[in-house]
Amino acid sequence: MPLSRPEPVSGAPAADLADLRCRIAALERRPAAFGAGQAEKQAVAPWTFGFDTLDGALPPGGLAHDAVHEAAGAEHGDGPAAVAFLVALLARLQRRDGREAVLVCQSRAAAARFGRLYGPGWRDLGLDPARVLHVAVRRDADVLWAAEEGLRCGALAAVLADLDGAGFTASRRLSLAAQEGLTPALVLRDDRLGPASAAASRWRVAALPGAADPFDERAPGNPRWALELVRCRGGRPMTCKVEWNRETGSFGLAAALAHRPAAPVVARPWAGDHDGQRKAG
Amino acid sequence: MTASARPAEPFALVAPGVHGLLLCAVNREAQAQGIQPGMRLADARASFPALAVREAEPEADRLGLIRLALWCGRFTPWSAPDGADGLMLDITGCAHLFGGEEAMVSEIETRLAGLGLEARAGLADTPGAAWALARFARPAERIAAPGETRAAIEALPVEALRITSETGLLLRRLGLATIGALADLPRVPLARRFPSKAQGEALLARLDQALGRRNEPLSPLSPPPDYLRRLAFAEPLLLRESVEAALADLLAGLVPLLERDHRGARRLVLWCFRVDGSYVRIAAATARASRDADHLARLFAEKLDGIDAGFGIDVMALHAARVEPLEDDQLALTGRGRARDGVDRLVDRLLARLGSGAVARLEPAERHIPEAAQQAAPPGRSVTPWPERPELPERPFRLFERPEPVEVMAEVPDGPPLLFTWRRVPRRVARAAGPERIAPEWWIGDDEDEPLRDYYRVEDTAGRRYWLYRAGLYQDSAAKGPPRWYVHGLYG
Repeated sequence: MPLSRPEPVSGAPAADLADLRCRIAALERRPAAFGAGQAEKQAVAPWTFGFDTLDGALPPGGLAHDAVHEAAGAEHGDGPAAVAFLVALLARLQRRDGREAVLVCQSRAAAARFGRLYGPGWRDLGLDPARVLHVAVRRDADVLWAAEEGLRCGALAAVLADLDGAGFTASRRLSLAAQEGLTPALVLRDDRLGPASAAASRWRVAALPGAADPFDERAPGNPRWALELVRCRGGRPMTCKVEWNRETGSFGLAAALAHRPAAPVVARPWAGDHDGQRKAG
Repeated sequence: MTASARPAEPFALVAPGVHGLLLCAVNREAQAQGIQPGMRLADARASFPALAVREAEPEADRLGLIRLALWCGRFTPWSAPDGADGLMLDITGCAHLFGGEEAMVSEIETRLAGLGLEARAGLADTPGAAWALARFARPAERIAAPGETRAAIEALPVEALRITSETGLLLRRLGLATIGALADLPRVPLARRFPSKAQGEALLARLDQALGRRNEPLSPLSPPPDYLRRLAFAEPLLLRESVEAALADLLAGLVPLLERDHRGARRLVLWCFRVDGSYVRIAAATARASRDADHLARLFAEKLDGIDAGFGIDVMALHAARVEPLEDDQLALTGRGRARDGVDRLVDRLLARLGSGAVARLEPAERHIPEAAQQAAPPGRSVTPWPERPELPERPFRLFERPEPVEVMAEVPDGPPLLFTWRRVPRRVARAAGPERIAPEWWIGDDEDEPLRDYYRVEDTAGRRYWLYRAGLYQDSAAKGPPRWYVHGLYG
């Protein structure tokens, strides 16, 4: 029996066009005027930076919960800055419907390059290490597999993976898994962003000279990063200099003039200046 | 039992004795030459110079017997090695699976013969009587019908009672050659015939055990499993798909057992018995008790690839080796209230593929030394909560397992570094805080000579942040050499 397909009536293709538009919008992940599937996805509030410049640049008003977000250092030595940026983002992640565990997947080679995850430091960044599940494996393929499992199970708040040199296929797989489990994936690239990726947003992070400690202008204070939004689905690339406020756990504009000391700096000799101890006391 | 690769010429195993090498086992050809176990090798060689010998390996024999006992798990879960050359199987409630006792005994013997082992089986109500029948009865009389133990062993010699050779000799001298002759004698006068009270008591105990007047518990090699399912196949399985299907069947049988008792499995063991007498054992563990058949099957899915079916698998058994109470779940109305459950399942899957130790939660440890301040906890149990942030300087979020040495230009004695070279790149310090002094933990007694460390939080001119420390003091340079500098962690 020949397959019968409803021929578009030449006078009224409007319904078909609308249907196609809707499908394309879904593919491009843009809020469509009439997308049936979109409604439930929009119900989950996006993951915001709490900073209008950044949130405004992203179409859902923040990072989408069911997508992959990639970050890499701008230069060779900026890898740790990219990690710090992602960890700061994780600390801002709002806990939804009882999901609170974060899966961190690292290969042993990556751990040797920039060190192992260190709980006390994560706590200082505002993220409870007890909620972190840490996976340390030997091969990159296992990192990808573990990240995919974590995304797919849908019980995690987020997945953070060190994926060096994973190609487009890998990021596409992660992206599908993220959609299935409605779980965001943060992917850390080693040196540079790969040529192609299915990530919803890609960030390039460079360390900037940080702010001074408000109580001691010689000590390092809040970190600052130059963020470059290289690619964003439905949004426009942009650059921005931000400061991470450790006390409030929020991003803000890194203004060169914002934190100038009120009084001229009195030079002090280093000898006998025990900053750490005085601050603690 | 004799190995299948039995040489046709006289052959013996020897072991060192007090007066030189002694024969501990001989084959039939050697026996035909008048060579008996217990002889000295020199004597045996004198009567038969061409006797081939090899050194006995009692430890390997013992392990081999244990393996064989485990293999007998295909007949009954209750199996144990008995002495140096026997196996004891408690087949209570198992015989009907093989078509009756007679059929089961011949099945066991056939299977063992197929492995090249000569075995003699005995079956009775008591272990003692079964022992006697296996070793001393004629093949046709080796099975004692229920309740007729005494009749079955009456005619057997007294040695069948598992007694020492001295006791046997004494009984023979008394004219008591069979168990039947012994059974009805007055007990006290009989015991008095022996030189020591213990010897008499031992004989009576053995007699009572054989006749079922005294209880003789068997301790099985593995404790009797409560949650065990077993499947036998007419045709040996060779394909992975069929093994998967069999596993699903086993789980479908096991889960109702667990459900009935409100239990969940923490550890499952899958036994695959191959036709050639070997077996594969695969274990899977769960982070939390579970009786979800799909989930448990998925844990094995990764490992089934590792099974070598060999000539085929003809019996499979699934055993919930560790179970924990697990109440019925109340399903959440939203369908989302089981996130914790989901995480546990994820952990199980990760562990099943990546191996234990690959997945961990981080737990605080009450130590000052930074690398010891956290420890990896197995993900299953709940984690000690991290204390509220104490008034300590900030810690890096990544820590090097081995601190990396750096060359540093710093003010003496305890200034922060001004310039340091890490990974061959010189870095100029823009901001620094410290020192934070962390002394070695002498109360743990690690290393007496461990130098104390002064930690600095450092930011270079590019804004990258490091956690540096100086091991040792400049004041101690004369005694301990100049202090060294390391990068221990990164802030970003």
